[in-house]
Amino acid sequence: MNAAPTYLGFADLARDAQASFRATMDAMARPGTIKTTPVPVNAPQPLNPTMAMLALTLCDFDSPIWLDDNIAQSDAAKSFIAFHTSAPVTKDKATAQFALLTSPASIGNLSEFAQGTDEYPDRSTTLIIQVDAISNAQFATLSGPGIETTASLSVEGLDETFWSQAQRNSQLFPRGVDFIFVSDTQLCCLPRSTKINLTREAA
Amino acid sequence: MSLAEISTEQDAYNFAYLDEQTKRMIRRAILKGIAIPGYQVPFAAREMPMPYGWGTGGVQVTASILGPDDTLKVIDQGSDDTTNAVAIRNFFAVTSGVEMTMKTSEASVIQTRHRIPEEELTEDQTLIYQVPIPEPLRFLEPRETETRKMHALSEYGLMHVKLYEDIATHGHIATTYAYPVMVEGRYVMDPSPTPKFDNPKMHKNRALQLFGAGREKRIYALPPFTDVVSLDFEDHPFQIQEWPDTCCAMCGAKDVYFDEVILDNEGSRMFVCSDSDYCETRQADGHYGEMHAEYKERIQ
Repeated sequence: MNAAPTYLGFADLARDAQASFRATMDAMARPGTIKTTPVPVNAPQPLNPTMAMLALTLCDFDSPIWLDDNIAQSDAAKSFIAFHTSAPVTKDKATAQFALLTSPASIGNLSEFAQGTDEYPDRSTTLIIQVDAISNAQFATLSGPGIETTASLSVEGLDETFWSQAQRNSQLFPRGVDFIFVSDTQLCCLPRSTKINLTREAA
Repeated sequence: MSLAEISTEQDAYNFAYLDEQTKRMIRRAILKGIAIPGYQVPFAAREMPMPYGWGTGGVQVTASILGPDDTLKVIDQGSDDTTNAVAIRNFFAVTSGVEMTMKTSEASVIQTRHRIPEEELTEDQTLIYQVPIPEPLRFLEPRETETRKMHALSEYGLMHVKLYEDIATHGHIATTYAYPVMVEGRYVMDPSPTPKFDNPKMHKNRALQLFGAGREKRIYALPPFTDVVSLDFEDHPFQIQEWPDTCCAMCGAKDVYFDEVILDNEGSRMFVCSDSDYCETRQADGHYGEMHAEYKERIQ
């Protein structure tokens, strides 16, 4: 038998996609809440299992995606995404409905992604960003819709540049982008509606 | 190998009726709606096997979030037993097979037409509203291009004029249902035709609230703990309806929303809780109203 790995995607399309979406929806509705990846999807490097799950759950021929260099340079990852989602890949960040990033370092200038317009703030990019770890350690203090009082969030690899860009992003409300952070086993959302207070200086 | 094992006859429907691409499209709209509370996200609503006006928007949202572990409750004007609720419950029983309940506390997903349950909702629940006209400004300004611009500029003077005209004509704000609310100080939103009695329950509710309008092709959302303020004036503050001398004829509840039931041709009438589960739970707990059989027994 050939030992080449096969990447099968969801075993049960309807139920796996539902479980995945439900966790994401609950996380988006409660910013800073960390959810365990319900259906990790085995995928070629550099995609982590949570990223792969979200790509299969949210992307299809109707949603242009932007890939960072790490993914764009991996034929295996690109063909995995193409086979399972048929999502058109765009090189123009401003036309992407989703941006798939393997590291916060590849975000660059946030304002290059689609920000939506005043009339249609929903025409914006959702950034799905792979990170090493997410925790509720006291770093950023979040408040706003979905949060009773405040929530604390700490995401490994996010530097000062990111957080100040994210703060500017939430000032753009209702325009702006939304973030989904994905580690190998967890996910967490940061929509534009969340106000961010940095409790500690970024490392 | 038995015949049953090798038979691979497909299910007649995909889980929860909608195809997976439609669900993905709706799910993307839901995420955007949650990220922008109160903003109406356009979505490509499908034709459903029921007419517009029967909750096609709510049904599509429910179908897109529902999973095998969910317990679904469907209410129509507060009741689990009215036509629309029964039809939608049957629809999901056939197409998804999820567990159904009439108890508010047991449900993980509640689809509702025009009421919010009297019982307080929890973090683990999602409330889905059926919405006929999602645009609160539509009857004041019929052009979509204009209402969209008004939302973009957060220009809601027209709505205040409407409420003011109510006061000028009637001496009070006469809007009693679909009473406009301001979400997080940014978007004016139609709470769907719920009685204004329910508006305060939307404010900082612990449950996620999703709104689906099928014919008008819009989805919007209120994440938990979102600020939802009913529009009013300093000298005419928002007030919910009150019925100080009325209590439910079956369970004796006060401070709930009532249905009026005409009993005969002489005009006798009774008031009962509009929320049927709330009423039945109270009766089971031993609370009786004056028309309940047990109450009469107790009096004698």
